[in-house]
Amino acid sequence: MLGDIFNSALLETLVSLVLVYALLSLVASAIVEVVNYKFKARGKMLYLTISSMFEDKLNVNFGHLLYDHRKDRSNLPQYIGAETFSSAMIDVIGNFGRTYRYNDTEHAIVLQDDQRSIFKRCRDAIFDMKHTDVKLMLMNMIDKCDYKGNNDDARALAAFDKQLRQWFNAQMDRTTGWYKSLTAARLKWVGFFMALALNIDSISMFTQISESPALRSKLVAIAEATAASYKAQLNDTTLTGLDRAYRSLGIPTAKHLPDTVKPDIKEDTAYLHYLLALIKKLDSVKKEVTAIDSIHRKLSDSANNRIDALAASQLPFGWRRDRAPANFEWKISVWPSASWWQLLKRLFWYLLGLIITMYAISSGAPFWFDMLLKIVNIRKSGVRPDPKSSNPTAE
Amino acid sequence: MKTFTNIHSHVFTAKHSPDYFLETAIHFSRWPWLGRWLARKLNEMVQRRDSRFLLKTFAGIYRVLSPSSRSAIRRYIEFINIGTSSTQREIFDDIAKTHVHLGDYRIVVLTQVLDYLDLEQESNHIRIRTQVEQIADLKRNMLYQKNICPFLGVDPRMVGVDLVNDWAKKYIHPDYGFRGIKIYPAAGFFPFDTRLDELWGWAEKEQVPIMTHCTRGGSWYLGSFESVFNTGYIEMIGEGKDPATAARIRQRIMDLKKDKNIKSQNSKWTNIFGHPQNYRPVLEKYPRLKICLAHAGGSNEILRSHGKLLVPPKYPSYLQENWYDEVRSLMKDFENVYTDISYTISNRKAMKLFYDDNTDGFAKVMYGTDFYLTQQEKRGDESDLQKIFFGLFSDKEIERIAYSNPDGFIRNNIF
Repeated sequence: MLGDIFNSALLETLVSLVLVYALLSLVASAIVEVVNYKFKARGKMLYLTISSMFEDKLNVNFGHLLYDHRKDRSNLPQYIGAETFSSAMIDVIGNFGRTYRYNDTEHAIVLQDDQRSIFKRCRDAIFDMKHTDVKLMLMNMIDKCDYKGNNDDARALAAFDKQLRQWFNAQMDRTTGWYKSLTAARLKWVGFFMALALNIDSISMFTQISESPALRSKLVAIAEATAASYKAQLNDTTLTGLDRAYRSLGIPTAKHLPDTVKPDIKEDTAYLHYLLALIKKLDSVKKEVTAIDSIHRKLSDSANNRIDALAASQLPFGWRRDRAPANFEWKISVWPSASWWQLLKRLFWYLLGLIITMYAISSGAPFWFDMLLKIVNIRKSGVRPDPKSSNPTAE
Repeated sequence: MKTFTNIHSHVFTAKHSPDYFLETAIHFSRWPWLGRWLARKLNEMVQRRDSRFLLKTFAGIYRVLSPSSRSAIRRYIEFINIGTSSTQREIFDDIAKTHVHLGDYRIVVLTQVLDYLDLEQESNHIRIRTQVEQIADLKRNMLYQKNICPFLGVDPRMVGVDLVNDWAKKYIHPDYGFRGIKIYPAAGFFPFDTRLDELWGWAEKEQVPIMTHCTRGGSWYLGSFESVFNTGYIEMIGEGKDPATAARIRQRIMDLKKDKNIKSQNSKWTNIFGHPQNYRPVLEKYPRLKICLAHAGGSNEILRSHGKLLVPPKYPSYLQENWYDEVRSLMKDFENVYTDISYTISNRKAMKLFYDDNTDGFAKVMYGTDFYLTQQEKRGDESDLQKIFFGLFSDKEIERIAYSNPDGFIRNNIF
């Protein structure tokens, strides 16, 4: 009974559908990554995070001053490591604690040669701030470091450096959250435009896959291969969910490109690479499906015509005359009539299909690849039961 | 050695202005929410290099299609280019290079409080203290020390700070190098605000110069009318010294409060704050206060004073007084009231009339340009403005306006 369910057309259709969503959402994710990269979304969020860490509407904002000290002022950095942040911030706060005096002889404002250590300068700079939550937090940090240093300013400074790094890393989690929200919103838009541009009606796609065993079996085979490849990537804990998805299709991620390439170009090239490889992958799916269908039709049509026709038809989406909404009966003379209601009903299901696609794509590639792995595992547990589990005495 | 002085310039960037700042330019009285949304979006856009590139591309195409608008588009692009510079230092470098050929020069950089342009909206911008510290840092740099002369932005609504002891006395000090005070009443406060009383007393005693915006244009308070006028009784510095003027000011405020039609037009009702007459009670109390009413009231007011303004503005009767005439009257009545020709200099016609009106040899007039806000004007490039200035005034007048008058204005008792 259970075996029937696992091998049912419904489960195969779901596996096929999840595969299509996984591939489409991967394309969408790649597009969003390119957009985010081009519009420096990550850099802007990093800037907002760092400036908000020191924002109390009253004191000088060390976060803004940090950005004044970078070398390349034309671009916001896309990434700052905790170490870089901490080291630069100690410079900024330490500089703020320096003393300057007007020198009558030189007729200039000159830096005073005081004997304070960097740690003491940082402490004085923070102590001189107006009392706000930010000052209190920084003061607590400094006090703890002072205690740990036990009258040794170098040790206290090292502790301060560590504290700043920890604080920065904790704040970065928040930035990641913001970035994810932004990406999710952009994925929705991309999903919407993809559903519209490629005419991907989920309901119609479900119907067509469920009605075509040939298409289904081919897609299931690809799904199983993709899931296996994805499962293999799970061992590499350094990869993100999206990177795993890319790698499961054999696409190199930014981290696997040679170091000789400049960092900026590296990122850019990688995402373009993803897109090209994905298009190639989708194309290979088309060709394989085309080959199967061509066997059935080889006696009736010439090979070229079949390939052309099937290339446009194997994946159940795209704009075609025999597919919604082009095949709707638009010319209705009597209003209202049965055909008018029929049109309305078909339109409703069509739009619902597009909306489902939009939300499906916006769930993101990692979600669909995880789902693919789970659903393929469920199906496999029905198809090929583990001989050990079926015979407990075997052990 | 004499030093050429530009008494009026700005170097703050788009990051120093609130996220809603562009509501000054984008405002729909019927759909205020749409104006707010568009202003924030545009502000985000102009701060991104890609968007600016797109903007410039479209503008370039438009310039080809519409040759008549070429120069206007070029000017706006230049304005955006400068305003969206990464740092104040970059903007200062821009203006400095146009002054190098003048020999010994000094540029007055006016820091400005932009944090209270709308008391009801939140914003993520660089606030005044950081803006001031960035300029202080520039002032310490030996490459800039001689040429930059910063003024300190002040707003009576600043919280958590004692305007005299924590703010003015700290920065207007040889160790920091700030020389004067900058106020911008159109941002939503009166110069006779009693919270400024102590500061004006100190400024008069120490002869610290004050620069104030004095034209109907520029930027203005962007919040609701109620957010600044639901304040009960308005106290006034020097009311007892000049009851007649105080009564006229009070009447004007009363008339404004009764005028229901004007409340959605911030560009008009905020004129009430910067009206030159508002300085009279303050000057009656502190007659030696050294103050520059910048822009001489504005080029439109100069033209209006001579009946040369082609389309007279539609101001309600209680806001009709001519600001240019009022500025001249204050300069006549008080020994330390100055004006500058910044921004107004970009209008040749108004400048000619201004030139003809002066009978005292420009005793209290100073040269300034209002860089980089003038970039929007037809002849608003710094070099264009210098050309107008050197073309219109004689050598003797130039010596007075750009050298000795600013020298006397900037000098204070502190350093």
